[in-house]
Amino acid sequence: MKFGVRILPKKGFLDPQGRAVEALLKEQHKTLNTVHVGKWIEVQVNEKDAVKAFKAVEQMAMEVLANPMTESFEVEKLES
Amino acid sequence: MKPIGVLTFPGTNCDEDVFKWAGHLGNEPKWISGQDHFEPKDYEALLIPGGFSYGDYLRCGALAARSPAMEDVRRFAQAGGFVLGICNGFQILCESGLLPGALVRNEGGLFRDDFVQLRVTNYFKIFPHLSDDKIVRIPIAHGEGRYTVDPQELKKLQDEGQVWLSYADNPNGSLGDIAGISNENKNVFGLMPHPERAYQPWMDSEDGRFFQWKLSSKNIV
Repeated sequence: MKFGVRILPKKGFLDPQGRAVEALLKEQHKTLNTVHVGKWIEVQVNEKDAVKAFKAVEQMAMEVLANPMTESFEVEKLES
Repeated sequence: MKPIGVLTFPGTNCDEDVFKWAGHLGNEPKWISGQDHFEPKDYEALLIPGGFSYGDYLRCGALAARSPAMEDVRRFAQAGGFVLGICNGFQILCESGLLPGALVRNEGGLFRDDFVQLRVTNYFKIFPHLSDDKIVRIPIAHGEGRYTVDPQELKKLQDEGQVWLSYADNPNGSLGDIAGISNENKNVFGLMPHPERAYQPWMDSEDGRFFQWKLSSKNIV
């Protein structure tokens, strides 16, 4: 089963990458409002039970893939 | 006397400097591979040098913090042992939860590489040469050294005297000008600047010598 983990700097948290990209893009795209730069991680797990697999990935995200102090994350199921 | 363990991970690059600095200060340094387990009782103190452990993949220090040797560092720290993390070593200690907070991208996004003035904001018996309000001058070299922690925890750090070093002129946007903190038990220390890069006359500063620790019986594991 394949999952995607979307990680972004927490709302209101300083995101220098986002600010830098935003400043550059705004030069050419006047409609641009904000940019946030994060990470997208794909993980495949050998588990047939969808609930168990999701929980396992969520645990990986919470304990390793994201730092809950500075980042927020969302787990998304991609393939069964 | 037991040796001082110097941990290395793939991508650590201040290891030789830290090893020589520790030796110069009168300790007997010995290498520890971060990828293996070790026996905490065999060491008097542990140093975690800077660099780019595991290529800074995922987050600075995130992968090293979850390596086998760090489980033993945790046991060592829980038994009262003295652990000092410098730069990436500080990031590893934060990622492992042995120190509170996190170190994130510098304000302005720039890598900062320069000498800084540090104010000793709290005196610990463990660092007899770093008296209260002393100013020391040693270099920094980091892109992700902006210390951050939630407001309640910051207040606790300040109230409990866990902030031991502050920047006189904040180079990275660090919360509360924090350059170094300790854990609650005051046996695990982290700092972003590099004392091991300033301890000889030709290094433009010898203030790195002031960071020699003096352990008490509580620190013997």
